Amino acid sequence: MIKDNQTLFLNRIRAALGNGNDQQDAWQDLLAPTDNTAFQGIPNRGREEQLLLLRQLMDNAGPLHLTVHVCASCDEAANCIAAISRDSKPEFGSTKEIVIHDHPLLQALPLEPLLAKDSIVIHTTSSNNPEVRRHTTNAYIGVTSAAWAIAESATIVQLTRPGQPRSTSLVPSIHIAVLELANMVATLAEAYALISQEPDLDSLVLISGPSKTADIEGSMVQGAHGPRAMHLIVLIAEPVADSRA
Amino acid sequence: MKTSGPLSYNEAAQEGLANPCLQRSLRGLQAHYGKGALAAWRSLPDQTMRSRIKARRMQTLAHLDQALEQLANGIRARGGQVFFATTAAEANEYVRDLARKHNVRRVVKGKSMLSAEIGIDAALAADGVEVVETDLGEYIVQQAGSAASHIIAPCIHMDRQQIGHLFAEHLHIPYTDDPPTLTRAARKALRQHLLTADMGLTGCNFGCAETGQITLVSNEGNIRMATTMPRLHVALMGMERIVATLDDQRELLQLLTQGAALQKLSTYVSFVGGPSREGDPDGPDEFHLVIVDNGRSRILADPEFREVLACIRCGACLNICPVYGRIGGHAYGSPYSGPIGAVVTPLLAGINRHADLCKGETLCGACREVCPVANDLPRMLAALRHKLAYGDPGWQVRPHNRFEALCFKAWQRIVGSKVCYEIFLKLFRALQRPFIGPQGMIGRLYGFGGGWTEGRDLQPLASSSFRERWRGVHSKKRGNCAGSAAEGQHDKG
Ligand code: SF4
Repeated sequence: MIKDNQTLFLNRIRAALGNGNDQQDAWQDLLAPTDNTAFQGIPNRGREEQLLLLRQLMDNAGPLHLTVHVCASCDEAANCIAAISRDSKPEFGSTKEIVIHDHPLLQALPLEPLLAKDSIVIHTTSSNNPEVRRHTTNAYIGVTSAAWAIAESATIVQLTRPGQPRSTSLVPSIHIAVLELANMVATLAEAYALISQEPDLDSLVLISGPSKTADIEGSMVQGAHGPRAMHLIVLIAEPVADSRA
Repeated sequence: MKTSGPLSYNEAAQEGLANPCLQRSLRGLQAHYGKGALAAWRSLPDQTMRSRIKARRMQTLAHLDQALEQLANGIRARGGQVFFATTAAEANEYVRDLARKHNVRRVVKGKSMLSAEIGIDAALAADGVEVVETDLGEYIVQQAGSAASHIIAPCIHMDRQQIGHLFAEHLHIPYTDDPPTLTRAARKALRQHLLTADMGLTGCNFGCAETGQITLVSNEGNIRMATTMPRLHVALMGMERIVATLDDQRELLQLLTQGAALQKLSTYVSFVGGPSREGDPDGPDEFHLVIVDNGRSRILADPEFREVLACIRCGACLNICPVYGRIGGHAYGSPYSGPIGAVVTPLLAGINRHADLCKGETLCGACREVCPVANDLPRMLAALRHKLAYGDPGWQVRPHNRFEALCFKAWQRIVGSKVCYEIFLKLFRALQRPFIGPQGMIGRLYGFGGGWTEGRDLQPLASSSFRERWRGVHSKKRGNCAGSAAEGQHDKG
């Protein structure tokens, strides 16, 4: 029945278009890459240029209520996450639980000892954890790693992968994303170029700041149905102050 | 199509005009977003972007069959299911069946105008399924038993006090009119729904043929919730909402978020290609894409109106339209309001039935200026008026007002003959005399003429026409034509 429906449906469209069967070529032409878009490929950027992009991202992050932390080492990043965890209170439950993506970059952060001091529990969203859903719903903080970040709009790109579910950046009240400086790109077009090279592309999301709404008299409120705060930790090997020198 | 509440266009427009809160919001909206979108287009680094993208939209529509087939194949290859629904009833039946089969008790909805167009809430409710809107504005409107009055800002006709009372009653919280507190109350209530629902029902901003994915855009995160937490995700897609390539999608996305909300990008842009995969701890077990025609193929077939299918529902034309800007969205009697509604609602739901819409707009051209895909809505409004005036069997339009047509026929006769015209002038000047008020205007006519003076004063006919005056001047100065022409120009300056 479904196939029949499709045939009837598409036939009605063909009738509306008045197309003959010779249209296949033209459609293939439409799918061919166009060269009239401004995009010329991603330049090979050095560290200095990446740092400039970071500055641009930080400028754009402010109005979006996205807090950016620049960290020179894994220890510093872990301390940063621990400080955020200590200073914020759970919104929905009473226990302090954190969910964290199963990602090498995040596993390298020495979080356990830091958080244990404040009796904050960490759950990893690995594929073999049967309780990811419960852990995520209970958690007040979700820590993820971003595939890329886009400077022009202060956006991060997250690809759904085994052990890296979509709910980690969504259900907890606070979202902390961790990014390596090398994965900074300038424009949305650059990010799309990288996305389209991903084999086996499926689910992904672009995130620009905490969730928000202006539905009540146009007054902007952070924290609609997703996180009400978002932090981006950028790992750089040397202090960012260098870029201004 | 869920259309026309109990109020007529005129009645709902009057109501909108009399609603001070709506008037305040509309002024703010138009000053900020309407003007802002125009400024955004002016500052685009690539000034050909809009026309280029429009051309791509039209080319893609010209291959819509192939585009949709490719999208469907892509989604099926990832284990998603695609259903092609020719009518609203078919789409509703499919989703109802699915809900029955999976024993769905609760559905959470992401903002979708198509869902309102096909009336799916009622179809599901008939089976005892609870349907909850999760976009804050849509939720407020649902709780109030009202209808959305703007494509992007559904509850623009309500103020914080009204919303405060509504929440006090429905969410059992102490009354407050503080937007952050109200938002938090809704957040808490809706979180329970979002985490426990069996089905997420969303619209679709774009389907991409090249990658076989759909794109969903939101700021609140409700759409991500609705597509991640429930067991089932059903996306409703108007068949025209398709792009050929990922590049097209990106550029349209940028135009959409700029045009709709002056944002570089919405907070969340999700790409969905199918159900959850092996090793994904969340995401839906099943993903269904329902592609809906419901009258769109008829629009596609008509070269005069095909262009309207390029619309990406950004709402920018509402934010600039002088008519929408006064009367608000309810008068349009459909989920699609403003200039786009005035074109698309009659085409989808009956031109005669929605005759008031195209007649209400002013054809000022502002919507065409602001439209990210440069849709010539004024042209299409005029085309609809033409159909209403003369009838069109192809669209099953009967002449809207035979009496009016007769009057225009008569008028044509009158202005076609000098003698008739002058007799008419004399007659009318004599007849209008008792109606002219102290301000020199006609304040009120009676009978069928009454409509002309409802809400405005009419300028009376001048005591002598240009022709008569010209004749007067020149009969005195005959023989000195050149001089008087120069004088005339001088006067004008
Ligand atoms: S007609 Fe143009 S401006 Fe109006 S909603 Fe559609 S795309 Fe936006």
